[in-house]
Amino acid sequence: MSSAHQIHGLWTAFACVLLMTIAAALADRLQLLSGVRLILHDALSPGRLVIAAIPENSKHRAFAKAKDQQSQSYATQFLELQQDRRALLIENAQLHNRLRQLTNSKGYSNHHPKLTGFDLIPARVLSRYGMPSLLRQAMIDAGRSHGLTRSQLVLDTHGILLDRGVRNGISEGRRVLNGSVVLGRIDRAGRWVSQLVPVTNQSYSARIRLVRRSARGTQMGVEGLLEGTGDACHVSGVPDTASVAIGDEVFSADIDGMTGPHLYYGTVVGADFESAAGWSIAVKPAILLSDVEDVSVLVPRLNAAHLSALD
Amino acid sequence: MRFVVARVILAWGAMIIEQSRPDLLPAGAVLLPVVIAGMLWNRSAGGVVAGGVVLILDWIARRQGLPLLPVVLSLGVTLMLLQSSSIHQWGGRRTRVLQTPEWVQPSALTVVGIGLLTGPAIVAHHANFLDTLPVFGKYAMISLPLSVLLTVLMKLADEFGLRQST
Repeated sequence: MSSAHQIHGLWTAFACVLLMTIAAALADRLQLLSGVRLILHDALSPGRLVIAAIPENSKHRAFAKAKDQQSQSYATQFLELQQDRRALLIENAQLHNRLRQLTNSKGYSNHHPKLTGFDLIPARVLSRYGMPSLLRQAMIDAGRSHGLTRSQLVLDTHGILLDRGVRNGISEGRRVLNGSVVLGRIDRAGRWVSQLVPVTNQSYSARIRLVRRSARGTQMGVEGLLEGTGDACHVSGVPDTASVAIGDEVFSADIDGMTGPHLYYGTVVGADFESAAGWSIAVKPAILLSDVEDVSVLVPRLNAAHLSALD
Repeated sequence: MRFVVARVILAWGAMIIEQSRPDLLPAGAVLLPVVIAGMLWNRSAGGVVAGGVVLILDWIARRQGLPLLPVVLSLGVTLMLLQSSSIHQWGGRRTRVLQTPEWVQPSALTVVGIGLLTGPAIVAHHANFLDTLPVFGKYAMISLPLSVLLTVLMKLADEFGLRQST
């Protein structure tokens, strides 16, 4: 092909393109291209669908990933809000408590604060078979270095030993609980450990009240004296006029002579009527000491708010 | 014939890709360098007409403003091919208007094409020059690398004898 011919061909090609463009523009102005446009889109559709299907998966994955991240974010926010809510509830309770104390101390309320309250000192059963010899020697050595006498260490015990003592606020005669169930009382309190007398021990005694649960509700019964029998408990002092039945519950009447929470002892498993001495009632303790490891010691205390009000 | 089929498939594929992912590829960003390379590939009038037809069809499918792109690009390619023709004829003496190196031609035409693609939208939105830069850059980020790649391919095809004038 000669160069002149090529040049002519190029200009002709440009002229063709120019004419086609003008024709297309005029046809578009006259609304004649809608059919062509439709054909063009139809021709592109198969490949477009194929292409669109490929990124659709990745888009779907990206969407799912974003959704997962969003749900995780929501879960985290939910947990944080729950924590905030709990913190606010605690703060609210503390503020209510504080407000009540302040109101009481200023005499704005007719509510009379109690003089005494009770604290629970957590303890752990150290041994069920008295003082281990190794521990005894260790305590003697430690007591010697602390200037303690032998009697302050509670070394000659043969019963159940707790790992809390006078140093922790425990003193002799305090009730030992598991939840609200009475397990026994502190017999001897040493500097670091205490000896426990279980409710089944023959030296244990406490004032109790019988409670009957029926369809009509809870009925408070008569008071009596609970004593240990070695492997169970026995209630005496219940007059023959009282109504006693197997299944009645046994609660504490008081705590060392003070009114306080009603602590649970066990269930009446036997009741014999003895005309001379009233009822002879057998009680099965609710919890055996062999079943528990963690206990609490109930210690009375004076109410600080009441004392400050008195000041 | 195979070149015609190849060009049709390439143009069709470019239009499909652009229309499938308009979120990633601006309209014409892929088709423009492909058409320019197709026009320049055989240095012939047929290539100019084919490229022009593809651009006209693309304008029909996605009408936006006046169809300036087919006219301007066809004119630019024609002038560049005439320049090459004059060089061949007179032993390297350049007498034509567009005296640009051959490897710059596709990219230069691509820049002109991007200007024509973004122009109508910018005029329609009454945007100033600084506002047009991101739009221009979005096109350029795709079109110019593709144009450079196609230029390299054309050069390689030239070297291996696969690119012959018809």
